[in-house]
Amino acid sequence: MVKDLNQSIINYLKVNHGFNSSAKISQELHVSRKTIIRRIDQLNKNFPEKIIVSKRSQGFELVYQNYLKYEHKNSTTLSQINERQENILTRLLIASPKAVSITDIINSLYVSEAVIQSDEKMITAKIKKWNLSLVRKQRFLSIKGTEKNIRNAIIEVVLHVNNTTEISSLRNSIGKYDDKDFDFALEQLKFAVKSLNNNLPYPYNINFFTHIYILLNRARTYKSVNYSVESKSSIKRKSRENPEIFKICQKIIQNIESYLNVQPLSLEVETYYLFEYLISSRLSDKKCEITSDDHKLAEQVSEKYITLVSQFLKTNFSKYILNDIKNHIFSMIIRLKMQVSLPNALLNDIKLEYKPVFVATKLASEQVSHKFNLPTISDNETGFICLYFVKYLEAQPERNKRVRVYIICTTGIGTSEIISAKIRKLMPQLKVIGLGSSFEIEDILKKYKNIDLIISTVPITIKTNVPVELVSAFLTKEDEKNVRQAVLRIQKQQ
Amino acid sequence: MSDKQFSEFKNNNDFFVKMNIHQKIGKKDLFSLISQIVAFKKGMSQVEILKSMQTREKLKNTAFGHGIAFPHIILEQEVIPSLIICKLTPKIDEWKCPDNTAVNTCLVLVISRKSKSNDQRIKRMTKIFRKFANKKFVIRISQCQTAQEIEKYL
Repeated sequence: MVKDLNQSIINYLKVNHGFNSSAKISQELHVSRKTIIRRIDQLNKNFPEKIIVSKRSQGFELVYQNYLKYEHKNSTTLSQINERQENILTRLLIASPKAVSITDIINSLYVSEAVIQSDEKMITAKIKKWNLSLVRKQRFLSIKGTEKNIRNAIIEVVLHVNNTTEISSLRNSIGKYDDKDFDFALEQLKFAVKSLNNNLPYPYNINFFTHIYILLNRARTYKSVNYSVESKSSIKRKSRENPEIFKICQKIIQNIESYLNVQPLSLEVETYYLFEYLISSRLSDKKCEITSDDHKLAEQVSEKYITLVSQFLKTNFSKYILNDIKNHIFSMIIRLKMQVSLPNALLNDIKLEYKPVFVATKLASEQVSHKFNLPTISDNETGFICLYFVKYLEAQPERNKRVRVYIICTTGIGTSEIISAKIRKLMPQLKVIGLGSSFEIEDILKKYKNIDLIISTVPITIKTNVPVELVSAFLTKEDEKNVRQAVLRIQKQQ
Repeated sequence: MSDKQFSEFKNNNDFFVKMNIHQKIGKKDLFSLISQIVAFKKGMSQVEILKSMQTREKLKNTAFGHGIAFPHIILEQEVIPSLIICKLTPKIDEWKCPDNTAVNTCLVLVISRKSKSNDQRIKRMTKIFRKFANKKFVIRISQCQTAQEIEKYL
């Protein structure tokens, strides 16, 4: 709750640029103004530099540069309680399906039995997301669920893959583990990428890397774990159909066996898990195209998505989107069938920045999974599909979104000329439809009904519905920022 | 005009009027001096010219940046558009630009409300102002020591 509200405040300020009053934020987030002020104070204390600044009678503004600098720190900054619960959960997940002694946990964390009991409740609630359950038997705790779900949980809980798009930043999450393992896993990823003709983009690279990294930890610590590959026969068939990809996985597993100094073939079953991750990645290179029966289904699902999202957003998406999206949908179908999860580090931003598109895609996901009898399509997956629609919406003819500006100064020949030249250079997406004098403003507004924004070096006194951005003749960085924000507001309304 | 010292003032019909002021002067006195000169040159009332400058300045500071300011004289009656280039050797400390530099160069627009955009002089003025969108040009002008030097770049 604490963390959620802090994040909500950041999220609110991220999309509402400039200063926002505490009253406005509190109204939006349904908490008191005092709570907002207190939380912002707390939030700033968590960072080396202020991420939110305040101005008397103006409110609060996010310092975007600082926020970006410390964003990762925020996402992993947990309270002591959360940190302890995460520590317990990590141990249980890494050990699963084996049990961990409660006495060992108590002794290592210096906490009471009662504390552990309360933590159990929180952990039970947290792992429901992956269909896992916490079992207490005598003085032992263990996590029960399918191997795949356990691995999916490890990816998020231990490595925080859902918070980053960069493999290098995962090193912070694994601080307590071995750097050597990290480098070895990275080498294996590089080998796979090279073998696949440099064709393993985000998020598949992170997913594949984390799988290898987790495998190293689990295989070393719990060698005797008896893995069982779900839907083994279907996997075996797919591996026969895609021998090149399977060969890459075999080689990596051999490398791991040698690295861990274990008997050859002792981790053979892992080849299939690895293969599942690779085959459910989007490999767009023709040379390593995946052989599967799902290509036809992917086309149908993609067409349905395009129809539904077009309908919900009242937009006609170009048919070209089909070629782009169907490769992604194809790999998604494989992931859904194989229950491979793909964490989406961008999900929060997608939901915030592209809310209408995300909502439309989510509705489409529900209908698609129902119509084609597919497993539930998660928000993570929906977020990735949403980005394809966003990409096409943003790439739509710029002229539709071009904001038409009129530049005003007192004479219409002095500073407005300077502003005009600067605007044309700095913001080519704006269409300067004219320059004029503040004395003629009424006539200008009567003559040009299509003005979206007035940029003026002098205050405009007449009442008008057209937004006015007052700037200095020098058009400082601050002026530029304000104009850009005004343009953004107008584009959102269009 | 006699009590103020300025090195050069060409009483001709040229587009540019050049002034080099070498003594310490405040914003108010500068406006008064400029209005006096324009009144003399154009044969108009100094009061009206001064009022126009002050009204515009009250609306928003005309100081631009790098010590340069663009005061305006916008007159109701017909007037031949011109540009006064004024270089002040001691800068006016009280008159600050948005970049916090003190004004030491003024380019004063003298135009009529009735001026037409197709007027050759207006076109010339427009062309000059467009140059100020270029930072290098602004710096070059700010580094000029005299009004004559500024004129060469305009």
